[in-house]
Amino acid sequence: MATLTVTTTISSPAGDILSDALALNLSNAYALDGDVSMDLVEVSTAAGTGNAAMTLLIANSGRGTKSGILYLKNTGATGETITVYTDTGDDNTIADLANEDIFVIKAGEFAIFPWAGTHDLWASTAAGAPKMEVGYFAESAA
Amino acid sequence: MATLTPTLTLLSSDALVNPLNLSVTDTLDITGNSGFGKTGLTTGDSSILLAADYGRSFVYLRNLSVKSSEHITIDFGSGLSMLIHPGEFAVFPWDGSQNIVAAAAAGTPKLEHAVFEF
Repeated sequence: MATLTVTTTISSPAGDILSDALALNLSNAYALDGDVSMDLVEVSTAAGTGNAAMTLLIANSGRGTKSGILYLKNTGATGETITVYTDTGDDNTIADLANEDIFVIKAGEFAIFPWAGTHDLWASTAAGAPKMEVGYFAESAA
Repeated sequence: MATLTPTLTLLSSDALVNPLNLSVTDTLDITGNSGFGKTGLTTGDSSILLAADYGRSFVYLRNLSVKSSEHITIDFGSGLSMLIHPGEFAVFPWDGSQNIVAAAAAGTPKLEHAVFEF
């Protein structure tokens, strides 16, 4: 069984966010059992491209069969902002996306979280064609 | 203007064919509100962060439980999006449009949370 170790720090100097320095140090080792992938996905604008072009990960199928640790990073240029949606209605339509957006990831920003794997994840950009690093690591505990 | 520096490292010697050693960092200008907290959860929904209170924000969540059955579910509005096992955490740029709602799958785990508005 493979292992993934994730370490995150969140820091800010004294007198900035708090009067004292902020230093959160987090680490966790995940036992993996299932699919693992690291992809670079080009994100397109939603208009005129159809829903398939917006899919990052499909729930309950293939890589999304179970929950896993999901890493996302916008590697695009300044101004190429990516919005990430969770298709909670499971309706595969873009009509209700205004109620399903969860992240807005600007160039250089990243996210890591334990994805539940119950609804598809979609992504779109308002400008350009930024690439998103997408890492998926299926957990054995899921 | 306050600055927040998040870093992330992913390490694995056996998840992929080649060793994985990925490190990323970012520098965020925090221009709005910040908050820290710890919330005791039940199997009912608890709104942890309200969209009405924050714009786009960097968010940190961690399940503080050590009991294996005390998973925490995270919804953005009403759809299940995250399943945080005991000891696991999440950091992400929340867009601030849907409430972040947490519930325990079982037991009474505590959720540690922090928010930093961009």
